[in-house]
Amino acid sequence: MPAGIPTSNILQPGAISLSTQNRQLMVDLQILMPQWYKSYVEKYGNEDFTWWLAAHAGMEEVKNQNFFWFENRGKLMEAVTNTVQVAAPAAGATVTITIGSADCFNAGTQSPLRVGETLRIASNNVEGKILTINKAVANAHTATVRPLKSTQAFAGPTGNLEIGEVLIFAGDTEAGEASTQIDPLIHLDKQYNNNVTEIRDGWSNTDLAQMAETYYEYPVSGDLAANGVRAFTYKGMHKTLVRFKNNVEAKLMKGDSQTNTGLNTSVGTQGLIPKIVADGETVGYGAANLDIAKLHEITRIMDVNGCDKQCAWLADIFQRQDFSDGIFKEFPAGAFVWGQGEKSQDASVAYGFQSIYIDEYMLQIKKYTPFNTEVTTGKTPTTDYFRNFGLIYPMGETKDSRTAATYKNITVMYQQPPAGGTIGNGIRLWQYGGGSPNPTDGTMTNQLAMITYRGLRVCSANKFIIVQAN
Amino acid sequence: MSNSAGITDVHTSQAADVLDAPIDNSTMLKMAQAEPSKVEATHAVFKLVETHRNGRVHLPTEDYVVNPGTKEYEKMRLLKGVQSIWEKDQKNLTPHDIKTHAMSLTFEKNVLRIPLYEKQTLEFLRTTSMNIGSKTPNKSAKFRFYEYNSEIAAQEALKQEELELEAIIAAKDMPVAKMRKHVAYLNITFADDITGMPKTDEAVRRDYIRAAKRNPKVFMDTKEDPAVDISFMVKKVISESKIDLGKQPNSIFWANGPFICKVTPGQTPVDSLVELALTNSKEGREFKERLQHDAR
Repeated sequence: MPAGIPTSNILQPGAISLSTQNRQLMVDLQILMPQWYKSYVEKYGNEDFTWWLAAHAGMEEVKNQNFFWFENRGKLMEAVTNTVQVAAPAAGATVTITIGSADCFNAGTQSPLRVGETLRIASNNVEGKILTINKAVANAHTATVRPLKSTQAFAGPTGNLEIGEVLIFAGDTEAGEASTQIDPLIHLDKQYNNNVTEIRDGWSNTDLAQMAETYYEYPVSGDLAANGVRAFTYKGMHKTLVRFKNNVEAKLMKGDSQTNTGLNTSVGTQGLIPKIVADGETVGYGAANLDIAKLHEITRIMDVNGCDKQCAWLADIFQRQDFSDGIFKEFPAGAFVWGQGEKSQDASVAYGFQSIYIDEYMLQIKKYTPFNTEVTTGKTPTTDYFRNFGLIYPMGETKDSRTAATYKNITVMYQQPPAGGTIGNGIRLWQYGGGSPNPTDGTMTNQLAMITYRGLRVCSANKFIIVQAN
Repeated sequence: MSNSAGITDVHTSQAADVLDAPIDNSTMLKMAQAEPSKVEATHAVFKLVETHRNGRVHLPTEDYVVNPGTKEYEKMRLLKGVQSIWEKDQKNLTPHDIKTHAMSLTFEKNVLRIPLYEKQTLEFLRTTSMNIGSKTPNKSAKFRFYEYNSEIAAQEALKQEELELEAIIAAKDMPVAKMRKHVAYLNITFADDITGMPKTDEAVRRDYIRAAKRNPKVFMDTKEDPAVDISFMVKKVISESKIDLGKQPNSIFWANGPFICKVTPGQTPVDSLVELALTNSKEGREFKERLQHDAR
């Protein structure tokens, strides 16, 4: 594991928390649109993935805190894994296979085994037919299988039906004369849930702080200057805004839901990375050794999971460096049919992706510096979870298995805040306090508050891949 | 046997799976540090420590560990067909060889099975710092696993079942007076949920047995704990207004004036008073003496 990036030159702390210390300010985030993304980048940089996605792919409004959708559970074609060895079965003889919890459902009481199903052994293509099944013992269902050929044993290449042998379901073939109906296979759906969560921040200053001239200059917009806002308070408001933007990004990318007692009643939201950790694939590699062989392993995994041809890869500083110039030269992007919205070439250039074309996949790679604690906070942890870390996300769509509605693989979801103040892009900004242009009480403070309610819908998480060094 | 999809099948298709309870950390560690199981004759089984992953995990096949032979910090690398796992011993290999012989170890549904004849793979898995039972485990490793031992798993599961049985029997046979004190300590209510009336002894015992079943370890650890009696007395004198909790924030007084103690941050007033009574200090002994007097 490489050491972190030295940060001793960065002064700490950069800010302190006080109970008190106004405007602008939300206007640009509230009206962020693709055509103005360039201006956003000039002001805020081009690191933020969820803000880029929201601008170019749009957001979806939800009416309730919780939102859900349905996906197919597993693949359409079935296979099971044998868990008890059958030693040297004779040619043509019936054998008993056993499957375990990995192939059972509903506390181990149900499985896809059905009488009449033809099975094919994955390692040597030998076929057999299920004669009887026994689901009496939870998570240890058995079936008797007879090979189709009298000259073949229902066994793998070693002569045994080994533990771990994959048996592929081939349907009701050789159904016979005057055949009857085989039991149907009930395809399973799975409901996924997530919530929008409340993310807020605020700035507060007293009348004297607002009115004080400071010796340094900070560009204050004309209308604010006319309201008596000076450089110090303006700078504080601006920094609060940027911090709010960063916290929204961090929560949607790295944050997770809240379940513990002793906290407030908020349920939080499951962010992108916890979702992929739970339901996606994870590929490990040796640090500083992300090579072509590993890329081929990754594209094989993408093939298995039906990944879309256009995928984005967000890599931390270290992982991005592992993509040596050699890899980019060896797999140039070349001609490619770009999509629309976040899949367009313009959006890709706006965000700063660099593309490679490998194994029929367009991989758009971007250094995502918010992964590195050194970059965001100026501190160097000995162990940083997101060092040598990257994630691959397919820029595709999937269908809800219940409604057939089409969803993008990642969608930023938001709930419209209550009316009041200014609202745009699901962000509400309001001012209050005796010292504000909207005097609400007798205390001479200017309070500026901002809130948004956001979450992510991540569909077909099995297509997402975390690439992580140990 | 029906061969048509029915309404229950529709409901089942939309239902969530019922999963087995995860193995607790102490059992995991026992398995990790035990000798490999002899029950599985053909395969060794490894399981991920984090069991909440539904997708596959592809383990990196390189690591830096202390070589048990040389006691030096060395790189090990798993390559197919290469006898040694130590990079320094992997001689005469071209970059192409290394690229094409790199191995992949994949946990499917948190489980990895390796045939016993794959000695190099097993040596790698048992030596790597990602194995929590290895000689030099890395606690901050991104990928952590242990070698599953079915005998230990069965023994620990049996212990858990026996503990639950013991707790239920203890709950069933506990004398009423002692039961009520323990019920109060376990924060089980004495009033019926629906009517609000005080529960009978039978109703209290029913809930007491349920608590024993739900968490037998806590039940058995606390049933003879002196804190149970103290807690009961504290709650009694508070309910009889002999102790004043509201006179000053975070401070507890006797109703007739004298200061008792401050509430420790993160604790309830009852917990702070119980803690005081159990301490062997002068204030603790005095408080306990007066408590025993006032709770009569």
